[in-house]
Amino acid sequence: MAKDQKVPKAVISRLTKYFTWSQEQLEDGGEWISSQELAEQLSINGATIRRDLTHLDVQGVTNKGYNTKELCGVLDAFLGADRNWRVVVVGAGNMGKALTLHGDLARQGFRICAILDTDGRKIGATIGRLAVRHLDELPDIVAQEKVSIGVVAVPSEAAQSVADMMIISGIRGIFNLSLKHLIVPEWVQISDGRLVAGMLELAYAVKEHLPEA
Amino acid sequence: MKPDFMLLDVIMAHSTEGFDISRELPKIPELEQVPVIMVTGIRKEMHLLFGFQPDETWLPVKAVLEKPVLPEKLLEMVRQYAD
Repeated sequence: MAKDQKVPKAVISRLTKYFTWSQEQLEDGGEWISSQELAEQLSINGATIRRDLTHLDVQGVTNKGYNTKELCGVLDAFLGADRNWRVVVVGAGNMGKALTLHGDLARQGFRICAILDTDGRKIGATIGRLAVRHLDELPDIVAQEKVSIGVVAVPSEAAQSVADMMIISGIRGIFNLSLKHLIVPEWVQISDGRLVAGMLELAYAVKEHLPEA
Repeated sequence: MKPDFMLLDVIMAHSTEGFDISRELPKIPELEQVPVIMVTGIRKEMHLLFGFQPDETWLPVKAVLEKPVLPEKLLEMVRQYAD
């Protein structure tokens, strides 16, 4: 399948799961991964996995599966995780702090260059290796550090304004941790953290599976 | 009274308030058809590397003019968009 063909979001979502699981296998010394193994470990249909992997330039070997190192490399490049993405976090509350201190992000190539806020009590405080800076510095930081991704980790009422600041500063990808539906132009990509939506979906699923009283 | 034309700044009570207003205006029945031109000095004020353009959902205005605006350019816009 042509690599430049638009890949559905659902496929991308599954590819990220294959990627993180394959990385774990590689770290554990696993040389080969079969689609059956992936299917069992990730509870995804084997045929779906094989179809998803046709989007990549990777070939399986009969009776062995996919070479783990090769699969990781191909997924790494396909998902863009092989680039060193520079990221800013806006919002130095609990969510922003947790993300800034999250070691796995750096491991996947996301380097957090700055954490910003507007709260004078938070400016200057240290989170990990970073001092919290004022949101007014965002355009300069984006330009100097060549930031392409911004994380919105502020309350809903401030989220759109922060996203607007990010967009005019030149940020081209926004990860939205707020509950607000953000409006962005078509040249800006957005991904919703969906923490609360995810919990609501879970609550519904649990409710549906509870035994009747 | 319905205006024929609106000029909208960006930096007001907060630095991106003009964006919010541009998205709210089309929701007001009396104002939804009023042409809006954004006139802003935000690029210089905030040292932005890029300008920005109208967008159907994100920035629903007819045009963006950067300050300082030449009077002739503004008049040209008014003639173009105001009936």
